[in-house]
Order: sequence, then structure tokens, then C-alpha cells
Amino acid sequence: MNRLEEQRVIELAAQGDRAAADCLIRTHQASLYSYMVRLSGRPDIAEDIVQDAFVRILMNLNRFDPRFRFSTWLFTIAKRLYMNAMQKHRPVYDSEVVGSAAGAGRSDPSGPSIAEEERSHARECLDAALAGLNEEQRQIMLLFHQQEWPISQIAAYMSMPEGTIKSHLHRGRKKMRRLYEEVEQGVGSEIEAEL
Amino acid sequence: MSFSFRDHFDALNRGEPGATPALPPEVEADGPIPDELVDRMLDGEVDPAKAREVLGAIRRDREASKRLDSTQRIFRVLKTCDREMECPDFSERVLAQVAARSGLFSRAGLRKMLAYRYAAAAAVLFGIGSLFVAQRMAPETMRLTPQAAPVSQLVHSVPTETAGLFSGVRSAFSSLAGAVPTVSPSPLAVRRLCELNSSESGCGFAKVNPPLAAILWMDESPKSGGAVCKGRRCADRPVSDSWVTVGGSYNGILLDDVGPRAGDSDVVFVTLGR
Repeated sequence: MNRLEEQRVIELAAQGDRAAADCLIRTHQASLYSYMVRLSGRPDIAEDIVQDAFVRILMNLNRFDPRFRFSTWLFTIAKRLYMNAMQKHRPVYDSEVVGSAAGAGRSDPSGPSIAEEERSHARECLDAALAGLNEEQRQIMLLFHQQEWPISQIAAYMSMPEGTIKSHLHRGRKKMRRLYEEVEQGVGSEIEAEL
Repeated sequence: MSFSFRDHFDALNRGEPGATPALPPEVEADGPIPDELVDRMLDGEVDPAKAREVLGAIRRDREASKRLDSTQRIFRVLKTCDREMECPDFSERVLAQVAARSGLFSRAGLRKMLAYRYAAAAAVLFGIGSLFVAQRMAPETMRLTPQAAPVSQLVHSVPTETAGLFSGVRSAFSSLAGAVPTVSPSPLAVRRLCELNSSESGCGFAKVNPPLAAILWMDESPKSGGAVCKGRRCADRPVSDSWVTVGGSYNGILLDDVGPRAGDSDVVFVTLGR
């Protein structure tokens, strides 16, 4: 959906068009949910936040400023809700829970294949690498590499200059590479030791 | 020798003649590729036309190539995992929640919203219609700025009750005998309007001497010094000299059919002489 179409859908939804509101939710729910799961490390908290964010957005659609991207607005509301949730009960990044939410539920009941083992291993390394980043870096890395937002949009969302976003990206990648490799080698050596 | 990739890529983007090579000489000479170049590649900031050349240079450097590959692998894993992530369907529950809170997206809510809109439109139309009718029926009430009006209209606009009062007073004064104060015949200066129909304000009546034969309503200015009676009922009382302090100055209204300008009514300033 391009921005013009999205604007039309937003206008219709603001007028009470149920189909338009439904379209808006379905367009953005997967990306926001995956982002919140990765950010919070807790699918249950992510689910609550996403639901609440959509409710708030739909009840305030008439306040939407079309000069900005809808996704930026949605993610900003979700981030505020996430911060509130953090204040209430600090979510602990649970790699296993995130891993199970991130595709692990599709495993074959007859037993994992080699490809699945590899995927599971990769997920484990990824979760560890993401968990090792600080909050700000994790947000920026996810927005750029998961959500594929341009740097300018991330800068607007994070209220930071573009140069700072780039610095975070560079440092974050470096750290993630190191953490990923550490876990990969650690897990590898554990398997070898078991054998 | 210091080397800035930003300058180099900026030069590339500007299309300067000297900027044909995508990479600086150090890199082209199979030197180590700095992290910054790999990051620019990953940031998508390398000119697409030169991307192949930059990528070639990165591939020639084993370490840089490894860095690029491992980074790309991490984010490939991220995307693959998240694509496979089972996302709950939020649509139904979100819409139900919004409908419960605000009535939006529910049939009842839509009916309510439509009713509000029709009511608002009707109110606006009614307002415009009322303004139009008011403008047609009583244009003067629609004027926002004060309009100058002759003072004579003041007397005409006195309520009937007050007018009756004056006629009673007039008849009472007609039988008045004895010394009456005189009003200075020379120009009657217009001072100010007086409250005619206020029961709270003091008022007094006096019949001036025959040459003017005016009936005056007078205010309770300090100068009137007890010459006036209080309240409207003074019209019912027999008028006597004691009611009038001669030699005082008053603000009043000269009524119709009397005075130097018979047929005229005006606010006057009078001096009652002996």
C-alpha cells in the first residue's frame, strides 16, 4: 500500500469504516508484533502492547498528521506503551520464548531435521546477539534490518540525527557479529563435547 | 595519508570527472577494506552504479568479505525467523474493543454518528435560517455597531406605563397654582439621557412657569437637593412648591407639546429659578 492509498484508508477508518480499519490493522500487525517481540523478548507482553497500540490509534485517527508516516506514529505509540510496561514489570528478554514464537512452532512432530536443527541454532545465536545489545541499539537494528525503515525515518522516530543512527548501526552490527559468533562457537563446542 | 570515504562517495555522487574510480587507490591496491565501507554497503549508501565495484573490492579482502557475509547472515536469519513468526490476528479483538469504548466501527455507533451529523447539520441550517429571518424582520437588531438615533425617539420608546404616568402628572400640574420655578429660556443644553423606566432611580416632576409650561422629569443629581420625590408614585401626589427646589439645576426631559420647541422632546438641562 503506498502512502496515498494508506492516507485514503486512514480517512475512511476515521469515518468509522470497519473494512478500512481492518485493512489498516492487517497491513501493520505482523511488522509491529515481530518488532515488539524482538524488542521486549516477551511475546505475551508484545501481544498486549500491539493490541493496545491499535486500539489507541483507531480511537485517535482524526489526530493523525498525514505529513508523517503512519508506521512511525503506530510504532511511537507502541514504544510508549512498551516503556510503560517496562516500568510496571520489567520484561526479561527470554530467548527461548522468543525463539519459540519465531517459527519454532512449525517443527515436525516426528523429530527435527538437520535443517531445522540449523535453523534453531541460528535462532539461538540471533536471540543472544540481540539480547546483548542495549535498548537503543536493539531498536535501531530492528527498525533498519527487520522493518527495513530508511535511516531518515528511524531518525525521526528516535528523535536523533541521522549521523547518530548510523553510528548506532555500525556499532550494533559489530557487537552483534561478535556475540553471534561467540554463541555459535560456544554452542558448536558444546555439541562437539557431547559427541 | 588520511582518507575519507564520505568525501570519496560524495565525489562519486556528484559525478565529478576525477571521481570515476569507485574506490580510493589504497583499496584498489588490494589493501584492507575498512569497516566503514562495509557499513556503507550495508546501509545502502553506496551509489547503485558503483555497488558492484565496491562489492568486488570487499570480496578481494578476505576479512572484509567475511564481515559482510556474517552480518548479512545474521539479518537473513532475523528476517527468516520473523517471517515464520506466528502473528496473532488482532483485527477482530481490536475492532471489538474500539467499538465497545467509542461505538466506532459498530452498526449502532455508525447510526449514532450519522444521527449526530444530521443533528449538527440541522442546527447549522436552523441557525442560518434564524439569522436570515431576523435580518429581514428586524434589521436594526442585527447591527453590531451602535447607530446614532435622535433623542426624540427616547420619549417615544418609553413604555406605556411610564407614558401614562407622565400624562397623569401633566394633568396634576395643570391645576397647580402659585409660584413656580422658571426655566432658563435660553438654549436648553443637551446633557445626557436619563433612565425613564427604572423604578429604582429617583425622579421628580415639576411644572415650570407658564411661558415654557414644560413638564420635566428630573434626575437625582446632587444638585437637585430634595426637590424631587422618590419613585414613580410621585405622579399621584398633589404637586406643591415644596417639591421643587427653585434655583437648582437638573437634568430632565422636556416632554411633547410644551416648551419653546413645542412638539419636540429632548433631553435638557434646566435651571429652575424663583
